Amino acid sequence: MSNSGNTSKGKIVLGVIGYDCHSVGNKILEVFFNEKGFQVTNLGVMVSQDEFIDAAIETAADAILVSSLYGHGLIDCQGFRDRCVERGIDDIILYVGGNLVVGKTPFSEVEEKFKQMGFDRVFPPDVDLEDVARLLEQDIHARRTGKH
Amino acid sequence: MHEELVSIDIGSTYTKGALFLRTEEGLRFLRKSITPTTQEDLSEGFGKVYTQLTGLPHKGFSEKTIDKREAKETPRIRFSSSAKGGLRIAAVGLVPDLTLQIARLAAWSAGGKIVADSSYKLRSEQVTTILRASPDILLFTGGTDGGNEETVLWNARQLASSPFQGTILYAGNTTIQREVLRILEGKRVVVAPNVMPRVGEIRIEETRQAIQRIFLDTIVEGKGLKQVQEFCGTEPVPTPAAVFDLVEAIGTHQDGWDRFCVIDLGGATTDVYSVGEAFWGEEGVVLKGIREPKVKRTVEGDLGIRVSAATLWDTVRPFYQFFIKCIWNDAISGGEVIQELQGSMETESAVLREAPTEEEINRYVEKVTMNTSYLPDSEREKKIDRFLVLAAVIIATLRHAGVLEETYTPAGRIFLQSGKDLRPIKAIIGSGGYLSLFDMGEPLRILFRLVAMGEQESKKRDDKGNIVDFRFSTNVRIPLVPKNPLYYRDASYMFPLLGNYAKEYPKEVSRLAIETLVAESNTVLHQEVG
Repeated sequence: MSNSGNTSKGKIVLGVIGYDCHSVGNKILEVFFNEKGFQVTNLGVMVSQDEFIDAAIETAADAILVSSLYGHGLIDCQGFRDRCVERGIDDIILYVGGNLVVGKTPFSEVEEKFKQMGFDRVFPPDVDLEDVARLLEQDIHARRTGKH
Repeated sequence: MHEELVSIDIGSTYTKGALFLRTEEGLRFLRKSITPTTQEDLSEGFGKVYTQLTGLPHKGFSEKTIDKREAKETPRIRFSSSAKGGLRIAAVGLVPDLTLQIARLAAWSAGGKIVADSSYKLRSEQVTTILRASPDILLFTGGTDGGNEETVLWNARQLASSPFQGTILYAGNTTIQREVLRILEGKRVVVAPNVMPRVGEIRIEETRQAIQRIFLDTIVEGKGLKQVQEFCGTEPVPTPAAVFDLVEAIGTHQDGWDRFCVIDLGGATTDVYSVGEAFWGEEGVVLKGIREPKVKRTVEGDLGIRVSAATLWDTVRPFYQFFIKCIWNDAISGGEVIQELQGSMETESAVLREAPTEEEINRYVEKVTMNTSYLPDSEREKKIDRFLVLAAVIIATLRHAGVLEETYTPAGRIFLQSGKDLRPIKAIIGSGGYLSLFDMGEPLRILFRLVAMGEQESKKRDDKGNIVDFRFSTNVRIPLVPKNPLYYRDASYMFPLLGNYAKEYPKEVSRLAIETLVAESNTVLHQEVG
């Protein structure tokens, strides 16, 4: 778990949701977002919805970035936004990315499903992280200036 | 080098003291002394013990006597005070499993007991509950450094406008420390570094010290403690904090004592101390929540065998069937109890015919609550006492220990661990009244085994009826209680007295502590431990 940078672009909570223990990508994300100037709280693998939310409350995070690589992302992420609302962080930015579902469902359908569940952005496994960082910075800026 | 060291503990009923000799070879015990605590003026009983130990006069604690005590000729003194059964602390945190839980751990380790707690935003109901519990200290936490401000500032404003008179110890988000202090202007406020500077990172040592500092400032007032303090030229330590220091010293300096518990069972509370890694990183076990500290203390204000006998019985009563079968007859003549439990209904009912009914225990509990210095006067009453002792120890240990929850994942079965894993604990040291007098090794091992048994046993029982609703024995939650600990007794009740010197001479003091322990008589049986 690490934080860095005082002139941060925003505070984010990272982790791999559910019973997923793919840890390599998670480490890469941590290093990447730290270098990009975000203040990262990395919860590692096998993180529950409540653990993401607990950490987001204590750190007053701007965004939660959820990874899922083992194909059960849809079930694990069910009700995530509702839970955020219940626990008082209604307006937190929610991203999700990885191998979100098993099989050959077109990405647009997957994206649609997760957006319906309240995720702000959904990313396929081959996304360019530079793009994600740029979008994240924009979204955080918008949230802080009340345009989210 | 030959130096005499005096150590005195002012308890709520007795003032105890010991004289030690420190040489190059280490620490040696010379003699001890005990006298009833003089409630109106604590210095009186203190002086008596001091004189008995040293042969030196004390004659009250007037200015003149203090002058007479010349540093060169008189031995050094350290003393502890139980301070009306411990520091009353209210814990305020943000998320229950994070900052609030860490606040609790900090309060316990400083020798306090939690009388009220609150998470998220403080509302007027919570403030009222806290005020009603009349805590000496309010430990105010919340937010990582640079983290949550909104709720923490809200809580500060709630506290500022409340009539709370005690000391507020702020150990939350340091980024807004100044703002919090400004809001709380006019209150008695002390600050310490954030107990959770980053998510999952625990920092409680400074908070622990700050709590002890406040303890001194508030408790030392009145009742003659001030005079004692001047006489000794040193400040008192809360008794449980002295024991905590000793426990830590044993864990650090004594070979083979890296995993053990100390249980101190009294009339009013049950304290559990544990030393050892909280999480062992076993294959297939994943830790959830914070990693608890290596040295941990919890205190159960509702579990005791006299003053708190009624609340203890309230807790045990729903599991009466379970406890009575396990504990009765003496619970406990070796491994036979388990067989008996697995055996026929007739054996069970035979055990139960002999056992006291709920009504009988009820009556006994009433009796000892009315007369808290009561000692059992028949074999049967002794057994009921033993029943209460074992139940208190098991429940206090269950609360101290973590749990494993069995879960099935796409990658197979795994266990989620929360809290501290006490399974590898090698030894339990019984301290305080009953536990230091009687050998409880065998009954405790059996009870821990039963409590940790898990699904199969509990289901088997189900078909026959009975016993099943013992909540600790379901498959989903396996309590992480000690698996096969040896039992030692602090028979001479030396722990608080040695603890007073644990900060100065950790090696010497912890060695003597281990040497004074009384081991079980039948240790041969348990060679597998280790």
